[in-house]
Amino acid sequence: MAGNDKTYNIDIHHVTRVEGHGNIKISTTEGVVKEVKLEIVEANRFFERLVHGMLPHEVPWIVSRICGICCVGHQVTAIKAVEAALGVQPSPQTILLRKLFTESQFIQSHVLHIYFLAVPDFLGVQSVLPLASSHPEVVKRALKLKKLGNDYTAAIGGRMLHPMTDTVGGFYRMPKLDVLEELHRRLLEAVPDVQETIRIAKTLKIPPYERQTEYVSLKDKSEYALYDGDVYSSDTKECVPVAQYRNVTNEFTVAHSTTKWSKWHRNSYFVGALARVNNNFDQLRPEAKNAAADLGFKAPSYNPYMNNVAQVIETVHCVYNSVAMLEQVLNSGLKEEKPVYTPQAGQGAGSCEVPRGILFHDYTFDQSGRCVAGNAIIPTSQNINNIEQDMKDFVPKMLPTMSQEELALHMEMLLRAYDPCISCSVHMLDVEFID
Amino acid sequence: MALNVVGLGSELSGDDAVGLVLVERLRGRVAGTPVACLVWSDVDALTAAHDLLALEGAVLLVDCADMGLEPGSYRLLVQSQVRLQVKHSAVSVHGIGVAEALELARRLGFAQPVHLFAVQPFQLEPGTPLSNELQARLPALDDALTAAVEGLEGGALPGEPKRRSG
Repeated sequence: MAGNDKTYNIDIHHVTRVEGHGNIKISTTEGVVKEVKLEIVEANRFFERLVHGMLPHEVPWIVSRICGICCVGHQVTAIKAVEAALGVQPSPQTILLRKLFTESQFIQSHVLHIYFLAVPDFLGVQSVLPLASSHPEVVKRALKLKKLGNDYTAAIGGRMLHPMTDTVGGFYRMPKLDVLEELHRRLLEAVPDVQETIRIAKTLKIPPYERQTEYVSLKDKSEYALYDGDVYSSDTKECVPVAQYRNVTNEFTVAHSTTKWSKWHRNSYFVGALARVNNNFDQLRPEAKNAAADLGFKAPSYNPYMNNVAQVIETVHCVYNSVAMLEQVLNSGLKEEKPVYTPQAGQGAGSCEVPRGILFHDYTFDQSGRCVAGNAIIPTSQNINNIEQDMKDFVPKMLPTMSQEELALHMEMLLRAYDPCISCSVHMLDVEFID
Repeated sequence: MALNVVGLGSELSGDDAVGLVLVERLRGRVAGTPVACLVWSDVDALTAAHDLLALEGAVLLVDCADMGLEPGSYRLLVQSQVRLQVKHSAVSVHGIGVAEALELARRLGFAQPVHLFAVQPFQLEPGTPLSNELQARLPALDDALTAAVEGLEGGALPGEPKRRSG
């Protein structure tokens, strides 16, 4: 681990431009790396206990509050888990609307991360605020795309934050066709903005550090998996059913993190845009594949900083795919469907891809239909272990050529590249008291 | 140029809805004047920054604010009296704060004055409507907001006769 005679002490107490509190600690003595740690210091959230005693349709509304930016993902994933527990089969129309709903969240979240959180790193500014002075057109475009994403979510879910129309078995209220028509027009109008986003992403100098790891995502035989699929590993090239998710996450605890860590076939794995694009590249829309070629992205990429580029590729995919799905809805129309379910005992797991990676929810209900157990495993908690492994691999490689400040910045950029949502990642430790 | 009165807040967080309610009630009183009433319910700060850029004329934001005053009290803070603390670290996955949104809009060319009519809440309980206590104060707050608008517009509104509460 030698890196000339450098002695650094890096202690970034709460990394900025991520959600939640995480610290990076690195110490090197005379070129030898002594310690590299990613500390997660957020308090537990107790959502899995909050849902105890609730009825099936109440659970998704409560757990959507786990996250303000992934509220759609938590809601839809929880609905899928509840439906698995109760044996409810949603209609094709409901599934199509949920796919639209899911992609709306990808557009708003990826745009927020790319423009407001990641790009400032690459342009050497503290935040988006200086960027607004130096590159006003870029920031105006970002605001326009973000608003489009927000309005898209509201068009399907009734409102942008913690939507209320989707539920177990369907939708309480159908989206209005004239609103969807307007959305379709705005998405088409956004194509030049998306092309400009590709052009900007092309100018970013991505740090050239690579580490092979296991990439885990959903995989669907028929399409680029965002809403549904089985759990795929790049190591085994095989899928396991979502119901076996605990064999995937294998959660464990470490002393310096309130977030549980995960590992599957090796000591850590990667979830998120890069994992999805690596695993399912062939199923991206042609426009997204063209964007990847334009951006010099070749799957598989082992560079975690390329997660930002993968988010751009997915934004392109979602915009074009949403246009196609909306045309399907507008051509066929929407019919009213009353969402129904029968409360009963059962257990079920559900999974969706959310912007930060694969998300698992699992609920158990008793005979009266009351929730008696809940489990939610969030993408960031699955990624934390992999981020620290990247740091441990990259620090010795960066040390010989970087000043302390440069090394600290590259570590912050690495953490931000994963687009973590740290406060969402903290869930309850299982404590068993033994008499 | 027109004065834009913008109500901010959430309808499902108790008195956080006061800005929305007051601006909705103001609408009838400013009909036929250059004053525009806008209700931005549950918008995130980035959307607010985006929408501010589309406005012409000065802006009066009407919102609930914790000012350490007696609940139900209000303050009109004209731009010259307000200094917003902008934090670069406030930009996160979950968006940005009001100060950062205003600063962002400023840097993108939004140059008009922004004033704030702020009301101290009684309660902000999630899932609840405006509190009974604040509902009882609405007529007085209507008068205060009308006076604020008239002050900023430089004259009495031509709408319904002014009604002043004790």
